[in-house]
Amino acid sequence: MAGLTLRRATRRFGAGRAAVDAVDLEVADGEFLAVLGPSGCGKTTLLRLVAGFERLDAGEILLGGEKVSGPGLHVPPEERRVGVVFQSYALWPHMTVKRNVGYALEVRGVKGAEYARRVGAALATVGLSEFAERRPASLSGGQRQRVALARCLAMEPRLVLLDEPLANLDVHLRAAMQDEFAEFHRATRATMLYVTHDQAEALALADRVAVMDGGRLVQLADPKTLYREPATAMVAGFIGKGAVVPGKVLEAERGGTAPVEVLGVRATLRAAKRTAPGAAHVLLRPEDLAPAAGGGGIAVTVKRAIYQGAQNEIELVPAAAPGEMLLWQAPPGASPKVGDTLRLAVLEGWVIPGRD
Amino acid sequence: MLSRLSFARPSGEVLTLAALAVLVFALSVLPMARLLLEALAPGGVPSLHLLLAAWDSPRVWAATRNTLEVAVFGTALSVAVGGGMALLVALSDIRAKAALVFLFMVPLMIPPQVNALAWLQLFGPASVLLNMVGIAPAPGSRNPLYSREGIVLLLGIQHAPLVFLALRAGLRSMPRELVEAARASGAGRWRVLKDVVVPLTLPPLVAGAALAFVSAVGNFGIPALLGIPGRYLTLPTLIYQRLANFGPSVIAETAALSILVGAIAFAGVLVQGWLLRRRDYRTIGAPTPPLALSLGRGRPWVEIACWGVIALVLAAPLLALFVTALVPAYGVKLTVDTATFAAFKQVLLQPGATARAFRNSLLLAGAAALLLTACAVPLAYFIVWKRNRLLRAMNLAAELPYALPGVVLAIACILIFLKPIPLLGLSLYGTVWIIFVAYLARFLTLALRPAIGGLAQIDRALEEAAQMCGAKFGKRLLSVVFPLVAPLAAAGGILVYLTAVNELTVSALLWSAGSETLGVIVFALDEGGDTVRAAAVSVLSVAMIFAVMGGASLLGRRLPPGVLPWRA
Repeated sequence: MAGLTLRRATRRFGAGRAAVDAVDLEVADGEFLAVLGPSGCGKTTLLRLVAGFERLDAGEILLGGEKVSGPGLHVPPEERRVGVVFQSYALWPHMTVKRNVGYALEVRGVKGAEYARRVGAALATVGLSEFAERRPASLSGGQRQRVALARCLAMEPRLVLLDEPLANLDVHLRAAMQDEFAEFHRATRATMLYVTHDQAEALALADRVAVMDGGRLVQLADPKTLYREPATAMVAGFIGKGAVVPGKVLEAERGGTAPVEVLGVRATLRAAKRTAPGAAHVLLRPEDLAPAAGGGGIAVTVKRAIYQGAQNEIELVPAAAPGEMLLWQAPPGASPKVGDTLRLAVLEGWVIPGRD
Repeated sequence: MLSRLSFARPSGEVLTLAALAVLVFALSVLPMARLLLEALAPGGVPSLHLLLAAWDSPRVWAATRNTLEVAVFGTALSVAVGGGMALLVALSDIRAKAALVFLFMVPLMIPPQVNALAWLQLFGPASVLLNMVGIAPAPGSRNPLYSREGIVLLLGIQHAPLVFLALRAGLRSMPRELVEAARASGAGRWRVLKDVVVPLTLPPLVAGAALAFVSAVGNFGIPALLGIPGRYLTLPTLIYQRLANFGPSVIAETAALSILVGAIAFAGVLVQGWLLRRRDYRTIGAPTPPLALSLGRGRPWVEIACWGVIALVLAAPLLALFVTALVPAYGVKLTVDTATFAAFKQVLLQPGATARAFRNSLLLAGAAALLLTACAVPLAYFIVWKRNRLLRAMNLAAELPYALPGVVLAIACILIFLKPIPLLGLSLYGTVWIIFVAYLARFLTLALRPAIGGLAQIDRALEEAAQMCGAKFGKRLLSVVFPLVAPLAAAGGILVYLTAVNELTVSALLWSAGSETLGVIVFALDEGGDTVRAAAVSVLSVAMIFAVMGGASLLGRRLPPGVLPWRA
C-alpha cells in the first residue's frame, strides 16, 4: 500500500468553473479518508483523477511518492494499480464471480495454482467462497458489493477508491456494509479513499474527512473536529444539525474562547485561534441550547415540533430576529407546542472562522 | 480533445482509432467528394456547365417530375397504411400483435424487385394465379401495374413499414401518464388521439415519412420492373438506362443526374426540419408499458381488416409469385399435371449466371456482415465513450452512403474505381470487389447503429473496471466490450446480411459478367422475358429472408425491443 498526494490538482470541464479546483490533499499510508460533499461538489471527479480516468489540467498527483499525473504526464489507469469500487459495482455480467475477481491476475498472466490461491483468498476475505461459480446477476446487492471489494483485493492495489459504494443499497444493508468496510480496512490496512455525500457514513468510517464544495477542499479534519469546529457555514450546515446565525465577536479569542453577542444575548463561545472582534457567523447546535432560568436567554416562539421518537425536534423563531431559525431538541413528554414562547440560554457554540 | 490521446507512444487504442477513421472517410467521404468534384469541377476546373447541360433535357425533366410524383404519392400511401397500423398496434387491444408486426414488416425486408415481380404476377393477362382461378384479363391487355399508379402503390407498400417503425417507437416512448391524464380529464378515445397522441408523435411520424420519401426517391427495383416496360422513367432508372446503353462514356452526365437525385432526397429531409421547427415536443416521464385502449365490440372487425391488409399486400403477391415459379413455361396453365420444380432445379443446379449470382450474393453479404460488425463495435466504442468532434463527424459520415439514394453511391464508386487505384495499380472496376466496397460503404451504418445503441446502454464503469485491473485496450475490447454488445452487434450483422444479399440498386450499376448478384439476376431474367425463372429465384430469396428473420427472432429473445425491426 502507498500514500497519496495531490498538489493543486485542477480539472476543468468546458469553460465554466473548475470541477476540481486546486485541491491539496495528503493521505497517509493505511489511512481511511472520506471525501464528503453535496452532489456536484467535484468529489467523484477527484476520485476519477486519482484513478486516472480523468486527466489533470494543472497540478500533480503522486502515488507512494511516484508521480502519476502532472504537466505532460498521465500514467493510464491500467498502469496505476489503483483499485476502484464503483457505485454500480461494475461487475461483468458475462463472467462468473471467480473470473470477475481474478481478472486482474488473468491480465497479468498469473495462472494455475497461484491464480486459484489468490482468487480463493480474496473470496474468502469477503465470505463469498461458495459463490465462485455464480454469475453476478444471481447475487444480492450486498453480495455484489463484496465481489467488487474482492476484485480490488485480488489485484493487490496501492490504493483503494470507493465511489458512493452504499448508494444503491437499502438502509438496513448499509449499516451492515459499513461494518464490512471497517473490517476490510482493519484486515488489509489498505489506504482507502471513500467518496460519499452521506455525512453519517463519512463520520462513522473515516480517520479523517475531506469536505468539498464547488470543486474546492473546504476542510480536512477528523470527524470530531469537523463536528465541533466547522471551518465554514457550509460545513456547519452539512455536518450534524444546528443553526448558523449572525453574531458579533466582542473581544479577540483567548484560550480557545471568545465573548460573543448573539441574538441579543452575551455568551462565551468556542473560537478558532486569532479570532478577531467583529461580525461573524455562529453555529448553535441543539445541544448548545437549554431553557433559561428567570428572564435571561433568547426569547423564541415554537414554529414546528417534529416527532422523532426519542425526542422532538423543535424549530424556533427568535423574537429579536424573525428571519433566523434555531433548532432544539426536547423529550416528547416535555415538548413545547407550536406557538408557545420560551427563553433559551446559550451554553456553548462555535464562532465559524471562514466565510463561504 | 485529441490531446487526450497520448501521442507520445502510439497505443493500440490510437492505432485502432486511426485505422477506423481512415476506413470511414475512405468509404463515406471520399466517394461523395469525388462525385461532387466530377459534377462541379469537371477536369478540375470549377464550372456549373456540366450540371446545366445534363439537366437541360426534356427527358431529365420528365424523369424528375416522375420521381417527385411517385415519391410524394407513395409516401402519402406509406403514411396512411404504416401510420394507421402503428396506432392500432401501439394503442389498441387487438390480439396477436407479435404475428401482425412480423408479417407487416416483411415487405420491408423483401427486396423491391421481388415485391414488384410478385405483384406483377397478381395482375395482367399472363398471371398464372388468375388463370388458375379463371379470372385473368383478356390476352393482349396491358398489366395495370405498368404505370405511375402501379409504382405509387408498390412504393407505398414497400415503405409503409418505415413509417410504422418510426411512429411505433415514438408511441412507445410516450409516457402513458399523458394519455391517462387526458382520459382523466374526460376526453374520449378519439379526443385523446386527436388532442394528445397525434400532436405528440408528430416528430417520429414526420421522420418516418421523410425516410419513406428518401427511400422512394432512390428506389430502383420497383420503377425498373414496372416503369421501364411502361415507359415511365424516374431518375434512378434513367441513370441506369443511360449507363447501360452508353457505358462509362456518359459517367459525367450520370454524375450530374445523381446529384439531382441526392438533392431531391435532401430536400425531403429539409422539409422534415421545416415541419417540426419551433415547437416543443419534449415529454417528461418515464416511458411505460404500451397502452391497450379497448376497441370494444369493433375489435373483431378491426382485426379482420388488419389481417385482410396482410393477406392483400403480402400473402396474395407471394402466392402469385410461387405459382408462377411452378409452371413449366410462362403462359402455361398451372394444374396438378403441369406443376413442376424444374425452374428451381435450373436456377440452383445449372451452372451459369444464376448459380454464380447465388454464390456472389451469399459471399458478398456474409463477408460484408462479418467485416462491418467487427468494425462497428470498436467504432461504436469510440463514438459512445470517447466523444469528440472527429468522432461525431465520423458518425455522421457513416450515415451518408446509406441515407443518400443508392445510385449516388454507385456512380461515385464508378468514378473512383474506373481507373486503377493510384500507387497500387489495382483495378476494381468490372470485378466483384467494386460491389463489395460499395456494400461496405452503404451498409456500415446498419451495423453501426445497433452497436452504438448497445454501448450506450452499458455502464462505462464496466470498461473502467477492466482498466483498473490493468487490461490494455485490446484486452478490454475482447474480454469486456465485445461480449457485452454481442447480441446487438449480431443483430446489426443480420440486418446487413439481409439487406445486402438481395441488394439491387447499387449492384445494377456496378455488376459485370461474372459478378452478378441475386438482385441483378431477378431483374435481368424478368427483363429478358424469363419470368418463371425470375420467380423461382425470387421465391428462394423470400424463403431465405423468412428463415433468417425467424431464426434471428428465436435467437434474439434477449434483445431489447426495437433492435430487430420485425419483432413486436
